[in-house]
Amino acid sequence: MSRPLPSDDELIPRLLAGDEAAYAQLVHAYHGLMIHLARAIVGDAFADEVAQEAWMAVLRALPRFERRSSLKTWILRIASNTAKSRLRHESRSVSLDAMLEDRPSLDPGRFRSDGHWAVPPPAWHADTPDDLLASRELRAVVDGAIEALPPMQRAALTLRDMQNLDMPTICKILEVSESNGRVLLHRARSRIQAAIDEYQQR
Amino acid sequence: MKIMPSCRDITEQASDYLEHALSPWQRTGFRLHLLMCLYCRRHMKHLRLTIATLHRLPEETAQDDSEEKQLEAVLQALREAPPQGQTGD
Repeated sequence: MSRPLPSDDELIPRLLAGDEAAYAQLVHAYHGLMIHLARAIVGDAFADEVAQEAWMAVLRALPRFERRSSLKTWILRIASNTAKSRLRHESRSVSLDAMLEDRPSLDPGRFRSDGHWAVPPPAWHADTPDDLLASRELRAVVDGAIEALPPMQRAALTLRDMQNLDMPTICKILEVSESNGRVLLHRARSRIQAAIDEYQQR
Repeated sequence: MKIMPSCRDITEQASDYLEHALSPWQRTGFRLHLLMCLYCRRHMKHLRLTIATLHRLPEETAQDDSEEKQLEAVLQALREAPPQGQTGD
């Protein structure tokens, strides 16, 4: 949050020379984001460890960094891969397919066979984020819905809607195609929205 | 190709619409559908509100001091393992 990070051109030679202040700046700039990403993929319990492991991997790989992406994207891709292999290790049955998971965004029962609404969206008693977040109960519903997402959906949602990265960068970080990245994002958003729908009908 | 997307199509294409990833043809169909369909307009309004709410969550989450400690731990580990590119011996 303090000084702005120097450009990659300035930073990389300093990092390669072992400049400790440059490392401190780099870690300060991206550690928070890395933790959010790791948490999204492997969960709270392993996020700190994964981030630490990822930084060590960054350090080791830096001399071979070919600059085909920005330093930021490259670092976060290492973090994403570290988190994914940790997830596979912790839950042996999880394949990448399971991480991607393929289901329609909304319950198919909400539509008639001709594609029109069978169960239309209920009216919400809220017009702004403030209205929604004012209810502690609803906040818990949203948190719970995020928690229940498949890991890759949660990662896409976290990076796009909570950390404000752009989609091309996110797809590079998560190593998915742009169309798959958008599917992940949309499924995740739809589930959060559906959870709020459900709450509003209570 | 059908001209008008169904309500189900609208809910599937909603993020692509917001991310400007629909073709001009799809975008036109999407907008036409919204003009005529109250429920899909409501659905889109709720999606935008959901996204705006998600944007707010990081600031709503209280920061604890464990992040600072973590940063220190990472920097310590990096100090103990200098990069391979480092000069000197």
